[in-house]
Amino acid sequence: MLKGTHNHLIHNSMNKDFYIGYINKLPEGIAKRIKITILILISVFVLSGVGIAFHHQNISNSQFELGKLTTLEGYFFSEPVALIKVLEGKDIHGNLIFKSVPLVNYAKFGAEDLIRIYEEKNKTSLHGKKLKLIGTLLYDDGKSLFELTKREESILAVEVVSDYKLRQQIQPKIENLGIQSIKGEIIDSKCYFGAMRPGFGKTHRACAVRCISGGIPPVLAATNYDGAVNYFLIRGKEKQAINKEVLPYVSEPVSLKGELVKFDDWMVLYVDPATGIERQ
Amino acid sequence: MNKGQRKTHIIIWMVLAVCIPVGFISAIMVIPDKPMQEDVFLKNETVLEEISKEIVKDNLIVLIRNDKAKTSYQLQLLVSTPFKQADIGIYYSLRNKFDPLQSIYLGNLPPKGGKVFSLPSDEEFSDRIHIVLFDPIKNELINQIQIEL
Amino acid sequence: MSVQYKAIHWNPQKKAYDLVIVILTVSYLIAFMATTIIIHPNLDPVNLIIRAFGSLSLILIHLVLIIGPLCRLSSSFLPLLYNRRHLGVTTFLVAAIHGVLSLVQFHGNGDSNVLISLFTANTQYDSLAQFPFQVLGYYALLILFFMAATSHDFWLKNLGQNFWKRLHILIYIAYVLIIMHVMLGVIQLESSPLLIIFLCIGFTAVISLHLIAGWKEIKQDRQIQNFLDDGYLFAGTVDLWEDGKARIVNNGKERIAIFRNGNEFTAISNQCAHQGGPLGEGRIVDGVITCPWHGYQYRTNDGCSPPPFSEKVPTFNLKSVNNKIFLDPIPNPAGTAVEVISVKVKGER
Repeated sequence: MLKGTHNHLIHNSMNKDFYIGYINKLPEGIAKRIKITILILISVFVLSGVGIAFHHQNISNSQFELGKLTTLEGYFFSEPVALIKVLEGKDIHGNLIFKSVPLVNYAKFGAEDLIRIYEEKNKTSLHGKKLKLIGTLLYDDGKSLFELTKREESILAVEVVSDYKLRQQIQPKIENLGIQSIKGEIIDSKCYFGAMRPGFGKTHRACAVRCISGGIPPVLAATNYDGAVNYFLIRGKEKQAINKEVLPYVSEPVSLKGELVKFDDWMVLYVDPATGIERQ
Repeated sequence: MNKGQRKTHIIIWMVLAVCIPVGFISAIMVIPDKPMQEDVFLKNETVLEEISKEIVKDNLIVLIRNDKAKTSYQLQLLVSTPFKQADIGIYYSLRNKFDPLQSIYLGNLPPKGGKVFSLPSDEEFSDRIHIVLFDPIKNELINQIQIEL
Repeated sequence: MSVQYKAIHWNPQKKAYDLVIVILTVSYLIAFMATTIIIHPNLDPVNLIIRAFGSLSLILIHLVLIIGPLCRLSSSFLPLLYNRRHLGVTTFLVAAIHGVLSLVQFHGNGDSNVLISLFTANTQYDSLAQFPFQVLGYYALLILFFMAATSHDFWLKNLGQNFWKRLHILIYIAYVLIIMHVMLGVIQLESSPLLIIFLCIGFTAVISLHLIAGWKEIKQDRQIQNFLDDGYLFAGTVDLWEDGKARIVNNGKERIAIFRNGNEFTAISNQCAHQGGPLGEGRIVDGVITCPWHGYQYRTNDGCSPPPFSEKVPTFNLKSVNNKIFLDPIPNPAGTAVEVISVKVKGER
C-alpha cells in the first residue's frame, strides 16, 4: 500500500476533491469542509445537551442525608409498620404530639426483619420502648424515614417507659375512616421520600419492585385535582405486610380499596390484595 | 455492497419506515394519565377572611388572619423558597427564650406551599406573637418570627 | 493486511477523527450535566449520569446511521465514513455505561441478582403502556456489543465480507429496540415534548436518507447495459471517461468499474474486497485504483493490491472498436491478469 507517501497528492489537481484517509495532509478544499463539519457537529452536540437537559421533568425536593449520620430518639412501634415516634411538642391542650418516622434498613431492605432478629437475639420486645438510634434521615413533603445504616448497630440504647401516664400518651391515636377507594401510584417509601430522585414512575419501577420486595413499606401516593398529595401506607386486611402481593402493581396507575385508618400522622389502607387492587 | 445486500437494505428500511412510526405513535398513545383522586383525606382548615397583619421573613410570607368578630385567629405561613429541613415544627413560644417543651406546638409546615394554623384564643394573646420554626428531629432552630399586633 | 500485525494502523486522520469523537462526547456530557446541575440541582447524581450517557448514545447512534446513506448521496461526506467504526464502538461504550449503571442502580443492592431482576421485576409483555422497556435496552446493548466486538478487520477477514456485512445489519434491529426503549421508558415520565420531537426528527432523517439512498441504488441496479450478439456489453464511447476516474456499468448481476488511466482502460469489480466500497467512485492515484471509503488500492492490470497487501478483486476483459469500449460481462477470478486496452482519446495528446 502506498500509504504515508502521498504528500504530493495535493499538487494533483485531479485529486484535489478526493479524500484519502491515510495521507498526512489533506487538500485545502477538503480540509476546510471537514473543519466546518466539525464545528457544526460540536454546536449540534452542545445545543442538544443543553436543550435536552432543560426539559427534565420536575425533580422533587426530597433529601437523603447520605454520608451524614443522625441520632434519633423516640418510641418504637411495630404497627402499622416498624417506626419510631419522635416528640415534636405539646399542643394547646397539653397533648404530646409525635412525628412517626418509619424505619428502613440499609440498601433496598426493610427494617422489620432486622427488628425481629434483634428481638430474638436479645430476648426482648422493642414495642413501646424508648430507643436511641443512629442512622440516615430521608424526607420529603412533610414525611420522614430513617435508615438503620449500621444495621443492628444502629440501635444504640433501649429504655423501658416506666411512667404510666407517658406510656398512655405515646399510644397511637387511631381514627377509622371506613372503606375507601383511592387512586394513585404504589411507590416504595424509601426511594420516593429521598433515596432516589425521581423515586416514582415507570423508569423507577424496577428499583421500586426491588425495594418493596426487600421489605421497604409500600405507600400509595394519591394526588387530588389541586395538586396536593397524600400518602397511604399499604398493609393487608389482617394488618400483615403484603409487599410481595403488590409487586405486579407498582409504579402503575391503580385504585386500592380497603379500610382507611388514620394512625397518628400517617394514613393506612388495609387492603385484601386478591380483590382490593385494580389497574386503572 | 453487492446487489443482494442493497436489496436487503431497502427491504429492511421499507419495513422500518412503517414499524418505527407505528411503534412511536402507539407508545405516545398509551402514555397513561396520572390517576387523580378527588379526596385525598388532607385536613383543610377554613381560612379566616380578614388579614390583620402581614410580614415577610426570609422565605416566608407570614399572615395573621382573624374572623370578623376577632374571636378566632390563625397564623398562615406561605413558603417562597422550599425548606431543606426534615421537619419544620411551628411553635407558639410563650417565652422570649424558646423551649420546645414549654411552647405550644401548632403543627408542622410542609417544606413548600403553605399552611394555616389555629392560634391560641384572644385571652391568651399578648401584643407580641413569638413564632418559632424548629426541627425537633435534628433539634435545630430554623427561624423565629416576632409579630407585633 | 500488512506484513506485521497491528491492531489499528494509526494515521493523522484517524487520530483527528478520534479526537473529534472525544470532543463531541465530552462537550455533550459537560453541556448536559452542567445545565442539569444548574436547573435541577436535586436530581440524583447517578440518575444524572444515566440520563447523560443514555441521551448521548441516542444521538451518537443517529450520527452513525446517517453516515452511510449520506455518503451514497454525496462523496463530500466520505471523511465521516473513514473511521466510522470508531464512532460505532464509542456509541457502544457510551451505551454500556448507561446500561450497566442503570442495571446496578435500579436492580442492584436488593434481594435479587441484577440480571434475574431485569427479566422478572416487570413481566407485563402483554401491555404496551407497562412493557418492560429495560429488556429492550438490554438486547440493543447486546447487539451493539456484538457490533463493537466484531468491528475489527480481523473479523471481517475471517468471517468473510458477505457474512460480516449481513451480521452488521443487526444494527438496524438495535436501532428499533433503542427507539422503543426510549418511547416505552423515559418518554412516559417526561412531560416536555422536546425529546419526542428530537426522536421524531432523528428517525425521520435516518429512515428518509436510507430510503432515498436505497432507491437511488436500486434504480442504478436496474440500468442494465445493452448486450451485443457476441455477448459483450456496450460500455460507452471513450470521450465519456474522465482521466483517472471510472464509469460504472451493470451486467445485470453486479456493477463493474471501468477505469481510464491516461489512454489505458481497465475493468474490475465495483465492490472493494475490504468492506464492499464502490471502487468505481474512487480514483487512480499513482497508477493504482484507490477505493473512496478507506483508500484500499488495486493494480489496473490484475485487480491485486500492491505488495505487501493481499486483497484482490475480480477483473473483466475489455475491447475497443472505433473509440467505443465493450465489456465482457463474465468476471475473471479475483486477481486474474488482464490486457489493459489502449485507446487514444480524441482531443487529448
